[in-house]
Amino acid sequence: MEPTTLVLLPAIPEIFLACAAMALLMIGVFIGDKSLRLVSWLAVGSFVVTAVLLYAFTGWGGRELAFDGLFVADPFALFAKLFILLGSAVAIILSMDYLERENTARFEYPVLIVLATVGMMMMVSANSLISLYVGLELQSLALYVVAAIRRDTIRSTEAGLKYFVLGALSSGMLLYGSSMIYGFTGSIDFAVLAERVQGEASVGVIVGIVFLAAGLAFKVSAVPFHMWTPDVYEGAPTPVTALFATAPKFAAIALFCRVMMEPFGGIADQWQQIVVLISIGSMILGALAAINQTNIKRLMAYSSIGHMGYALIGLAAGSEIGVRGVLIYMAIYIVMNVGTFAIILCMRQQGRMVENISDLAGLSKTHPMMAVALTIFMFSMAGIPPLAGFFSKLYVFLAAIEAQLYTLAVIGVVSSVVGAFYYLRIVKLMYFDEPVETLDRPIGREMGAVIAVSGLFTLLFFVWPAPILNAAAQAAASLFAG
Amino acid sequence: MESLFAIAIGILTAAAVYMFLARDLPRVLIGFIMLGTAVNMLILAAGRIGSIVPALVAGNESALTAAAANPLPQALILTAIVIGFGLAAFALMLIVKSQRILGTVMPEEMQEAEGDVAPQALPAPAPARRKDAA
Amino acid sequence: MTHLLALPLLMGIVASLAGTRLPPRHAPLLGAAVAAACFAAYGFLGLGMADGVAVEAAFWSVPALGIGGGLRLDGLGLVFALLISGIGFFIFLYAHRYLEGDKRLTRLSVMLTLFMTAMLGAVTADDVIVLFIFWEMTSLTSFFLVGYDHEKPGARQAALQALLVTAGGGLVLLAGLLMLTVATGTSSLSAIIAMRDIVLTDPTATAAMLLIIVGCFTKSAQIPFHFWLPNAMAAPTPVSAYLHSATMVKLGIYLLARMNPLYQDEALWQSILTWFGLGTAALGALLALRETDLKRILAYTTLTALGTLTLLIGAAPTLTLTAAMAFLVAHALYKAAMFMIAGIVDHETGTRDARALGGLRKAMPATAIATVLAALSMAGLPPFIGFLGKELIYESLLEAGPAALLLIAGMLFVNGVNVAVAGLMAIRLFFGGQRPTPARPHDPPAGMLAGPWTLAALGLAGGLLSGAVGLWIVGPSAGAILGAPVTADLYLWHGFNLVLGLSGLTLATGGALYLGWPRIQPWLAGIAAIDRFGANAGYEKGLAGIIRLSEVSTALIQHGDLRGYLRTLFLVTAAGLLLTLLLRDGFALPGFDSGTVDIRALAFLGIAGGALATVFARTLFGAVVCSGLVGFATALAFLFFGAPDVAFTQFAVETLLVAILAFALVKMPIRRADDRTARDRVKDGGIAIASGVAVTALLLAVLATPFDSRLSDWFGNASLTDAFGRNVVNVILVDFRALDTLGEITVLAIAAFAVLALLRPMLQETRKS
Repeated sequence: MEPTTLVLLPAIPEIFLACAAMALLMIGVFIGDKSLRLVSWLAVGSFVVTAVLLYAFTGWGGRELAFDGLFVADPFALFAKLFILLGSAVAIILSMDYLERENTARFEYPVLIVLATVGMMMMVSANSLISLYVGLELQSLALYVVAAIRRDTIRSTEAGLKYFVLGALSSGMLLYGSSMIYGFTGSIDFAVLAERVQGEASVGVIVGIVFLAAGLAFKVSAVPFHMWTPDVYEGAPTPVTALFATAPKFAAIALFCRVMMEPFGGIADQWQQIVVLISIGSMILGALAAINQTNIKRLMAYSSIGHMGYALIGLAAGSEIGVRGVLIYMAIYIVMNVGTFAIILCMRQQGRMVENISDLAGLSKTHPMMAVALTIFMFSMAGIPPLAGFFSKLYVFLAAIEAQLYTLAVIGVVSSVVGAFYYLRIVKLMYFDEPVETLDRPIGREMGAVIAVSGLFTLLFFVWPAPILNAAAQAAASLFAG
Repeated sequence: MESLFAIAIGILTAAAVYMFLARDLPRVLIGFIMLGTAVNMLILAAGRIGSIVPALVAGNESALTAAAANPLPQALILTAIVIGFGLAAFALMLIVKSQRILGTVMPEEMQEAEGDVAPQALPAPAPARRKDAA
Repeated sequence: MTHLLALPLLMGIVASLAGTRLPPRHAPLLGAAVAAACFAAYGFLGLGMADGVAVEAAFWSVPALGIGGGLRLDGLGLVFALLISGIGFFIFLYAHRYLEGDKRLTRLSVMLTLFMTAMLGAVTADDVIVLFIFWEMTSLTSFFLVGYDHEKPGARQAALQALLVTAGGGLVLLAGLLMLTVATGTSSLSAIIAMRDIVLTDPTATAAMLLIIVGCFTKSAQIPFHFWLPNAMAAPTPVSAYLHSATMVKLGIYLLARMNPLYQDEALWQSILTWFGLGTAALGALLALRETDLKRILAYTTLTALGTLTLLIGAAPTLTLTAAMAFLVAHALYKAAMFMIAGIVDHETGTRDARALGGLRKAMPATAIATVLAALSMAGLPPFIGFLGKELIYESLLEAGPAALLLIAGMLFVNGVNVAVAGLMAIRLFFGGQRPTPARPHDPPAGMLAGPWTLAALGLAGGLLSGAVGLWIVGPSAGAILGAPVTADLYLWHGFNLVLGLSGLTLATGGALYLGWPRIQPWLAGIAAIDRFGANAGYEKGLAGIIRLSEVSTALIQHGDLRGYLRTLFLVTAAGLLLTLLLRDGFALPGFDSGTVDIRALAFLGIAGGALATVFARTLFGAVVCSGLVGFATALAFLFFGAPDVAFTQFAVETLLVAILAFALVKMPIRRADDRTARDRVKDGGIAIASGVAVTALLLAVLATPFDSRLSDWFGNASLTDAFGRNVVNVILVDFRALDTLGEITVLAIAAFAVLALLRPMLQETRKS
């Protein structure tokens, strides 16, 4: 560790976003709740500026440290951050109509999402266990508030409460694990840990890693720390659910990858089993429990549990190809989910939100374009080629086979088949069943745009996949270069 | 000395977990705060204890003496305490809000979950739980 | 030349898109035109490759995806491509008339075009990923095609069932193909097959082979996946005729044949294919006799054909492959014709119950002639191509060694049933006395007859020109299956030998079955056990079981009770921790000399005492006060162990917390006791004690190891020299770990903001009232 002057340059995008959040807060306080739309669009604008800054200060090239090595800016972080920004931006765009219509227009909402995004960006750039914890808490606290922001429904309140209690506990576990690792190794910095944790690791370090993994598994909602997911997804307001399902998931998975690969990459063979178990549990539960759901948000909860299981296959492989698979998986996952949630947000009958899967019956007759889009998303989530979701599965399975994790690959395939059942059931419902009550039209302009763009991406990913694949490959490589 | 500390932290953890599992939210919050305290103690212990000398560089020296306490865990604990305080304050707000709006601080009284999704499929565990709630 | 190979696929995709804009009357005609153009393209390519050289073309290569892309047409692919586009042409013409006036004809045509494109892509793909994509596209389009009559619940169920089985099987296939790709380092099928030794010596060789077999079996409806095929007869007849007789179900056969050069010497491959093939054929034959619905009867005879083909690929000698290809062509020709005829009869008479039909030849003479021609080929009579196929089957099986007797006996029964069904279709339906039908029968328009006529005539021509068929079609394709050149000298007349005798025996069996059919059918249909224990029942039960499992598991895990979740979490963590320590022998105690007990231990006593007091406090208020005690004792501990900064922070925070808690709880039931039941107390107490023990045990293990103090020493050394601060803790916070401190402040700011955000509506309300 060389003594250096404080380098801040690589963290400029984060600093900018944090300042932007403060400015937005001022605007909100000054104008009041009327400013929701203004603040929302400004927040989206600040995300765009942040993305540009990210490109300007990191690029796909090297790896730079800031804050005395606590903060790392590398292509891996860049890749994750770009998709986090995308997810957060879309979550804000999707929420505006909803908040106004449901009488919950609160300027705090976009500001909190911006703050949560700062936390997520810190998470993926964390280079020490405590920075990781701080970033995680930053993100979580903002999300706890967002989850509880609707005060007039029992469901929302209960969801917020559950999310908070279980989330705080998991953060505690993470901190506990960090202190164990510190106790056994005398360090919390990833670079030092990577030197000291080699060969046959001591039991304490393994236990510490288990606790870290438990805390992180909670954030990615992987089995056995998934329990909050269905209740919170269902109870929280739909735009909030859309947010939960996208950006924070990417941040947590990216963090998971960095923690496992950078400081503990040397003992990958010893933690591999943990990740394999988490992955298998998530895939099986996600596929099984989704089958008898009637509420589409609950279904999406189980679906995301399952998807996290697939993404973790790549991590379990513990290789560069595996991490590349994870990144591709998450990128595609975010786009598919954004589109699906936009459609769920369009599910209204006579001005009232509906959430039952059966409300989609006969959608192909009443909203043909929406039905086509949802069909694309469902087929893609089921992993049917040539849609994007197929490629995401392909890459993690390839990584698993290469790492000789055959059991994992086979369980993945089997649970995909079971999982396909409930995605296809929705398609069957839309095309083959008769509509009972039609959904309202027209859908909002922003919704239409989000659905169209994400649908086209999912459909046409295979035509020109190189940009995302190359970027993911470079990002994964950077995690192994350092 | 260290062993005694370990036992005290164990008792604190056990008490915190017990409170965490209570039926009313204020007790859960107490459990949460105590659990945070336990983790802070744990960080202190993990950095090894013994010295009473604070981690200050003496006036005539350029580096910390070996007799001084380990400074790093202290810095970490300070961070953790502040964050824990923030979380506790927020949790308290949630509880107050729940009392104001729902008139209860018992999570079980606000519960709506899988039961209404597949009522015919609920086997023994769920009714049993409802019973002891009554 | 090479561009010609990709042309059909591009045409198909463009036509599918363009087709959506066409009115129902015209959409099928576009499909027919595309099919004809594809046929011409493949025919042209085929003329240039009689010497056995495969045509290759670049197609959709994505290096970033690891996809080499590429198309390749050899003898095997050519036969399939010609059948797919040729039969497709007649199917479009047929559908045009069959579904005349139906508004959904546009959608059907587009789906059929897409399906045809996917099939052509699948049989010409040289890349495993490309193959898989087209493979799944056929499943997907078949989902929409089978579900065409979606007002019928049966059609919806069948569509989903067919998709689940075939698309799921496709995924299994993908796993197998990926294993081959990883083992060889290439995704090119021809390259993989060329690297036979590497593939077969790889540790995953057997697993990959089994996965590929399962994938092919689901697609080609082999036992135990055969049940979806008869159910898929809920599709409209043009779809059944195309997908379920001539093309899609043969895709599995295609891939088995394609992979045969790789595995042909493996005993496992041979025996699985042979016996499952025989089983499928025999079961199909048996079940065909139970049915009265013409389409279902034909579907079961298709099973017999698929089983026979699998059997022939598995029974490895060269001659069986020649037999397989000859039979494949013969079957595609007569079965597609038969399906179209069944549709015509259904369309014109209003029923397709074999018992209710008879004597239609007077009303439908043109249909009758086509039927007789197709039936003669199906029954395997000379000089039709069906005869050629059947003779070759018997001839090749006679060489099959010890199992020959059983195989031939099985084939006798299977072919006998085919003869009987051919008789049913031709004699029972069209001869004898005419029976009354719901509609007045007459010949259909020419568009519907074109297919059956041409295909049946081709069956005759193929038999008469057997030499050309052998040279141009059977030889090259059998060579591709074998991986070595094959000369197929086909001729109709073999002289009086054993094979001819077997043919005669087949006819006799078939004749007897035909005559006995009115009695055999009701008897077999009456055996309910077949329905109860059949594979379809197994599928239903499996599905119901998964749903039930899903219900039980969600109710068990996902009960929605926060306390239950917490209990699970604590229990899993504590148990996991203790188990890890136990299994990895991690229990350890620090040495007793690691520090003597002095007066500072009082702080520990305060912590433990306060904690216990909190638990046993009677009221909530008491618990708050006792937890405050814990906080102050903690601060003391910090003070005693050289951390005055932390101690003061802890004092401040604890005071603040207790004050806020007490203030906020005024409005709550503060006198409330902990109202857990005795049973709950025991449970929670147990979990709590386990957690405490686990934490202590782990901490003791930590303390027993020597501490690596390099990092802390570095901070101690650098504090003054680099950061000019004497208070090392402060220096760490504001200099070395500034990011954490910044984050921490932000967290606090968010917390304040959050409290405000939650409070604001309440304050507004209070102000209003």
